[in-house]
Amino acid sequence: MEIRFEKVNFQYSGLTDTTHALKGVDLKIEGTGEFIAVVGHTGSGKSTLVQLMNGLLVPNSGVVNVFGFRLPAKRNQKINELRQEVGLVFQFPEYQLFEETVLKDIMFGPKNFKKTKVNAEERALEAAKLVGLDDNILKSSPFRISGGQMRRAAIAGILAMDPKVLVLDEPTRGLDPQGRREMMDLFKEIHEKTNKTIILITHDMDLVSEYAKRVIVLSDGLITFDGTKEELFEKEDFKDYHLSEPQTIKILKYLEEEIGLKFKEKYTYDSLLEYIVEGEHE
Amino acid sequence: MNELIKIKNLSFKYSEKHETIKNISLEIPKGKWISILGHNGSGKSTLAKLLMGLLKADEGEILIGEEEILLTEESVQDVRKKIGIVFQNPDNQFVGVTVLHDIAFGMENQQVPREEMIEKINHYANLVNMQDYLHKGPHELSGGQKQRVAIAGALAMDLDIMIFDEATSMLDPKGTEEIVDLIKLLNKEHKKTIITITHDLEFANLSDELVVMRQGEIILKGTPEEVFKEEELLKSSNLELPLALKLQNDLKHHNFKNKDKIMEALWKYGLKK
Repeated sequence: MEIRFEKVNFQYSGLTDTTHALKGVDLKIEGTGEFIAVVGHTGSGKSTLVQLMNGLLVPNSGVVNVFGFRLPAKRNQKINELRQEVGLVFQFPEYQLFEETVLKDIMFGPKNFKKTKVNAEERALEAAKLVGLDDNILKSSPFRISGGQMRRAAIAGILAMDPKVLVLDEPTRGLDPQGRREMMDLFKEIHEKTNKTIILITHDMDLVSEYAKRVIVLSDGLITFDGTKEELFEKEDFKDYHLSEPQTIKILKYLEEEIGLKFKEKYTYDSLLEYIVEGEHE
Repeated sequence: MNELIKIKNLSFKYSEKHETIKNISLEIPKGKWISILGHNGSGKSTLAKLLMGLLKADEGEILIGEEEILLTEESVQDVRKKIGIVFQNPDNQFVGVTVLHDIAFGMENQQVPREEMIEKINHYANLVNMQDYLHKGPHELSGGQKQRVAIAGALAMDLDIMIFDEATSMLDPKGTEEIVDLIKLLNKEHKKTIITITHDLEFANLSDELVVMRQGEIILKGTPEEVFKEEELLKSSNLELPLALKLQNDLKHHNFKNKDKIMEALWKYGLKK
């Protein structure tokens, strides 16, 4: 089971001009076990790409195939079922909360997808637990909890639908550093516990380097790189992508230049710390 | 040194139960760049709103400018001729139909003569590098461009003090860089007093002095070098050191080859401006 793009074109038509957001994109993403970062500058087509994955947008030409659902859809296909498989968390998802209580808000998705009420509540409670919201908060109005909790509630609402794939559009934007770390550790935990594929849109190369396995780089509607993060960061022509290097690499390069510490690629904070402590660089 | 802002024993609460600002005192000297740091909900944005007179303090006082105007409902219009703010969301503060109208908006309210207004619009649009976009509407601009327009509009009022309330947190890296460069320019070349509100220590590292808030109180104050030594206090306000300094701190508990050299290099790297 997988997500497959075949020669997908998508354009936004304005009054006077047309913007080609995606140009002939081919792509294959496994339904389980992937942790993918989608990077690229504003306007490169990142959001368009993920909105095509759950039928919010339909290709102008080419085919998107999501776990057997084909887009453009055939008449008898139920797009609702597709939306349940690909859980999309938008930027600042807390702006979309609207119910009387946090619990009702989290239940909204599963209820809408024709789960029974009891079942929906069960799933909501499970999702709330997963994102670390306690019972007190579930009874509160979603507008009377902190910003970090609001975001957790919004994400729980998506998780409660038990999607196969979780797509996150800049999920840490606007959070304080600890909130950011907790949020990312949460996704990592979900990924490790459930083996769900996670697709993360981000501008933050430190998040890419710390968490992602695979990176897709978009530029002007084209996929210009698709491979492991190691392959990307170690590419000779990495500069040409106009992406910044992760902090861990910058620090190691500085140490080499300044005090002659042997450079070796390290992508996570823990591996960087270990490298220095073990002194293999001698 | 003469202070442009004097905050004395300021307190404020949104509701009876929860005090948001607890007895804060702070002085901000002319021409300095101060960063106010803290976790989400620490009161840092509330403090900015109090300084702008958008909220009214329950206790304490705020004095603005060299003439020390006491901020009250009567004086708030005078205070806003000295102090301006750029908020987080670029879409929430663009009021004009075009860039030109947006920059003019504040001046229109102050009934600045037309000739002078045109001159100022051109001057400040140039300063923020938006001179080629004067007739564009907000939907044709990026987030960073909208923030630059907001800055031009504020500058056109001849302000002495600019507050940036997480003004880059919704921008992409390029937009962020543009705004950071502009803040540097305003502070260094144009001698504006700058207050940036942020939870990014890497960014705050650029400023002269840091003020760290936690649950409505100031828990730490000093130069970046002084503040970065207090990792535990920073952690208690949900803040994280720049990565090189965090690494340096964590390495303290380990023994390894060339420790002194590596520690010194990391500290230097972490503090570089």
